[in-house]
Amino acid sequence: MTPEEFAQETTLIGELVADQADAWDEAESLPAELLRKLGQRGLLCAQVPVAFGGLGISSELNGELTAVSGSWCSSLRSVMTSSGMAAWAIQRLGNRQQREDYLPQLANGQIGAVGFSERLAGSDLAAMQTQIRPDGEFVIVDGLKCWMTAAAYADLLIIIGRYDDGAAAVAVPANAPGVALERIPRPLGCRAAGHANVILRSVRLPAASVLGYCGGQSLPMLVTAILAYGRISVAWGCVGILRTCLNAVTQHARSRTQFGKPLAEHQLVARHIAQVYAAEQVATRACEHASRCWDSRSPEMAAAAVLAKYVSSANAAQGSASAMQVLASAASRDTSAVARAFRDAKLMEIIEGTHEICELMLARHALTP
Amino acid sequence: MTANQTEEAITPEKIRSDIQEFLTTKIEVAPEVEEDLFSSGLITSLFALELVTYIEKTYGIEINGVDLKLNNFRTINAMIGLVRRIRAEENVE
Repeated sequence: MTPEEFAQETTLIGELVADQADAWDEAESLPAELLRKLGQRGLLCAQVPVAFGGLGISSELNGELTAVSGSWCSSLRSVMTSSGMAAWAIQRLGNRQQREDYLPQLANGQIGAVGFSERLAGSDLAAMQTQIRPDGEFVIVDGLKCWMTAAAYADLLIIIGRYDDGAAAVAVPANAPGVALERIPRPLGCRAAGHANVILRSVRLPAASVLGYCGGQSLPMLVTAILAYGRISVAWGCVGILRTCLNAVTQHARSRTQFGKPLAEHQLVARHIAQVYAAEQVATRACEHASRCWDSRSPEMAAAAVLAKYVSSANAAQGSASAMQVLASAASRDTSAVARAFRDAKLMEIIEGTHEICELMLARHALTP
Repeated sequence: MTANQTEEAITPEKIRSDIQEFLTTKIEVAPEVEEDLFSSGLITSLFALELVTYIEKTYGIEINGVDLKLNNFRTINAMIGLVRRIRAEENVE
């Protein structure tokens, strides 16, 4: 993709979002037409290789796409994260046949979502209870997945569950008999991202729906491999949140006058501006590093992805809190851009591995003999 | 370089020394070929994925879903077996 083509795509997304993100947030829903258009252009899973009908862009370029989209609407960016992660799960875990079967559909309008969490298995994914049971030429899936982002829009659900004495990921069509969705009302952030609990009751699928055709993988390896994509994507989304905050803060501090001078000339306000700026810059560098590791297939990639997610989500939470403080009443309506950033950023410290789980992983990584 | 030459160059001995060297730089110990890397606590899931990526990149192979089992990475010998099997399968295709 040339820089000109890339600019055309981001311009298109900007035109489609326009000033509607607040209204979508309030309605807790993204227009089907928006997702269909972006999906058909391959923009919801833009790293799918060209050979499978995707745009085949690098992690670094997709990061920019994710940040730009996230700066306008974190709900839309969440759908990108989910659909891209579903495509990545198929590319990483599936065999050639499955890539040929599923990837062109995801790159051409279908939407994917991935289900890890359960009521008793949040940070402790080892407590997962969903079963993927082989039954001749079929598998039977039973379980309940919580808080699946984009599930309300998804055509294809990638469900992680137990299989034999290990784990597996299985591709479940959202309309398969036995699949039921329960929308989660009024999420704190990314309100239009289509969060839902997904109930799977004796869902019977061809055995070839199990990614790799055969389960029994190591659950931690499976989860770490799939989440690496989601973590980098969420991290870039946080860069987008920070860009919006920086933009709002600098504009407001220049234009609003108190005590006879612009806010920007008050030192305590200037400190907030510096903090938001530093948060955005540092998050961007951490994301660039993770994406470059991904693009060069560096073994460091998995750790760099955790680091980027950790740094960016914390910076977005702190940066958006600073932005709220500077904008004060100007951002205190629940659906304004900075208020959304504040709510969305908090959620980013929770999903794709909580802040604390990232800390445990980074500490163990640092301590490895 | 033809496939055959590559095949000759990547002997089990070469794979062993590559992986041992990688482990040595990463975890500052050189495990024996049959040492259980997981039960000895040398490896976390993050590091296991590093190993996967390292092996894929070094030998130009893809380790897909079906092979992402801890047993395939439990010992250096298991990894040698995995690399040789995938390379043999890819050459057949």
